Amino acid sequence: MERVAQIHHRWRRQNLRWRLAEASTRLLSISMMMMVGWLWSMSTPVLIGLLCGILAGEVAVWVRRPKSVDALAAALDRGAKTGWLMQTALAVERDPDLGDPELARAVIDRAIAMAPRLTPLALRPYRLPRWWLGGAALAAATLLIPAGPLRAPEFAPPLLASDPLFDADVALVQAEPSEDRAQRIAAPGAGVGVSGEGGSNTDGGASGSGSGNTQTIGVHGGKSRAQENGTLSEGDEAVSSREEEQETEDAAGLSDEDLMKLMSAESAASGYRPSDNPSDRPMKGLSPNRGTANGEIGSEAETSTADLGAVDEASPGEDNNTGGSRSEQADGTGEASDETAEASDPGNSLNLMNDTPQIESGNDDKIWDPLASGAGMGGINDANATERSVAGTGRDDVRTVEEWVESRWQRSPEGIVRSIDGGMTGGQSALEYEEIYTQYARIADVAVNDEAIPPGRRDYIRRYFERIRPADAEDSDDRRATDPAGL
Amino acid sequence: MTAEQQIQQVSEQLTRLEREIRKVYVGQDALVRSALTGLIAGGNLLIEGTPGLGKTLLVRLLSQALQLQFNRIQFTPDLMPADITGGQTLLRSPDGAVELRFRPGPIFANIVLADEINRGTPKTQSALLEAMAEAAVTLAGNRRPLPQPFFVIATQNPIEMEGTYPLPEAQLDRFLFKLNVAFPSIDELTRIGVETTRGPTRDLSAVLDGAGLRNIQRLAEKIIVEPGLARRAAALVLATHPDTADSPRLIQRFVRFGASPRAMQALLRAGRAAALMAGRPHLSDKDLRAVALPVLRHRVFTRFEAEMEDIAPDELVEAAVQSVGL
Repeated sequence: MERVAQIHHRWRRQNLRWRLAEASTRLLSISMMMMVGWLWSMSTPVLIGLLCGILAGEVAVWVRRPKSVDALAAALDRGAKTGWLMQTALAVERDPDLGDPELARAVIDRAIAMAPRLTPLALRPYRLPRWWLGGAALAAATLLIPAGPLRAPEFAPPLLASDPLFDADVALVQAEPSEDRAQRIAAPGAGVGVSGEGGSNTDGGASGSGSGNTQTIGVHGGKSRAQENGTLSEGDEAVSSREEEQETEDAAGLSDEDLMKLMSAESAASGYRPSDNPSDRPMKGLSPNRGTANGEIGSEAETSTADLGAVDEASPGEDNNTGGSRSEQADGTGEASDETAEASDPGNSLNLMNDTPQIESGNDDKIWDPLASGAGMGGINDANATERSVAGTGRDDVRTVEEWVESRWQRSPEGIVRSIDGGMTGGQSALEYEEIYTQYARIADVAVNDEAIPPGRRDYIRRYFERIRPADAEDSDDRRATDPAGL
Repeated sequence: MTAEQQIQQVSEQLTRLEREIRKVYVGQDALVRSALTGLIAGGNLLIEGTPGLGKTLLVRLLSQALQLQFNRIQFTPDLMPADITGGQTLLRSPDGAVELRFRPGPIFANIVLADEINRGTPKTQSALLEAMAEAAVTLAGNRRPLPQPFFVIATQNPIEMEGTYPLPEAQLDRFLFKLNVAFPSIDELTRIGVETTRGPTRDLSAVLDGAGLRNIQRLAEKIIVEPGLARRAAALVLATHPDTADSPRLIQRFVRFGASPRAMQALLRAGRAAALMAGRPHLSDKDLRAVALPVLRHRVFTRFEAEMEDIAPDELVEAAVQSVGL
């Protein structure tokens, strides 16, 4: 290797101050990338853009690197203002007859002696730093591993606006035979959840409210807005703000007692009862300790620890106990729940408990109460619940309603929940389940691809919708026979 | 003693010499340094300045510090070449025989000050310039070498151009440097007045002698020049020519003739001397930049348009220097 390159290497080795500064700069860059990835875990394009910018900068430096020893010597002279010393040393080494041998040796000795005093800023790296690959890999790992050590679980938003009634709806739909479902849909206003009973508890209470989906999550009116308006058309635009306001006023006119009756009727139909027993609380971490209407927790439910990182898994037995006790406490619904359980296949029950990261919210002593008025409780009387509208989902074929939801956990973020019109009516939707599913799936598809959802949670959403995907009767029978767990 | 040590020793000697001269010669630091550079490079100097700026004093101080023989020639229109070079004189020996004997002229010295050279006739100027070029005088078929080291330091008065004979371009080219003497600042002027009027000018102590100066000159010739830098110097010389494609617009517009190859030699010689004074064993771009102006300003011949627009040769040389990236 030419002497000048040796000088350069020797200088880089010997200059402790430069090495410390270099190491500090690299560590700082890596730390910044990791910090950005941590803080902006919801904003993948920003992080990708940042990484691309860093990559582009490094590539530009690498492209501009001196590509020969002559260029390196010139860069050293130019950057460090050594007065053509490095280039002369290189020329002397190549051509011993260039000048007096003693002076030539003096030139080289000077170049070697001056090298340690060159400032770091005077030089340009002439090879792509290897540390960048490690830093980029570390940043990518920070981004892609959803439950990695640097992913703060408390910053991860809830997967879904957890709503026991909605979850119960999903479970009921899964458990409901298709013929019962068709019967229910054919009879507007019929209840959901109890096979063949037609939702007797919900019709009267719901009609008076006309609340639809414009209230906070705790309230589920009976009839859908489309039912009240007497219209049901495909591809309708989002509900006008005027209708939303009217519905808000209507709901606000309800007394607490009426609302409680309404909610009780809905809960009875879905098999859910809020419990004061701390061991039987419906919420555990991010997702409720929900089970199916029959209280069963599918023991075959798969766990996805690898996908979701650190998961505080509850043992199936514990979940089973909780679900079972809740089912037993259901007033008047235990028998109905049992009937539903008999009709349904446990293997096909929806069980998302083991699939969700069990993250302690710090609010374990609070049980969700739809009538709660405390801040962050998400109830109808939540003082912080306001109506807002958000940007559309980009899908014109989905009727949606926006709701501002206050998180019921102190450390989880609040935000806007977009609910499908008629999709969260506690089982009294006039729309077919297939249509509801399709609309939700469209929303979820847009959200998964466009919105700031951590990559690990996107997979969870996809799997969830796969599991609640409606199927034909024949297909569902075949699937239950071959895949009881519904995988 | 290694070469590095030798260079350091020479650099210290020259620094000491410069400091010694500045004990008497007030101000004009750049002039003193350039004059020393020219002497180390073995070249002749042309100093231009108005009367009373200490041009003669500088030369005298140089000769004292270097322990060199110094002669002064005041050029007048009636000065003959023989007054400079000397001539043969008929002399009668004690035994009555008549013989021609050569009587050397004032040029036979180490340092010759040709004061107001532009006032001498071209014939007289050429006699001096011939001695400058060949370091010898040929008289009556006899070639007589001049003492070594030999320097001619000529002066010119930029005013009072009437009755003068400006040096032709071919003869200007023989001077290594053309140095402009600036008028001193108020502080320098104050010091000049105070220190030069309180007694006779004191003599300097000797720092070097002729032999030492010759050794320094030989060492300067060994300063290493990187080929790329030499090419940069050549590009600078070419940039002074208006017909060169890469020459700056100022050159193309205001220059009639650019520098000759002798300018290239001058650049490298002067650059080596500057590097040695700075204590470097190699030529640096800084050295070239420092000597570019004194080397080229009298070798770039401007058009009349430059005089009309008051474009000085210094400005043109600066443009050429920047165009080659020095």
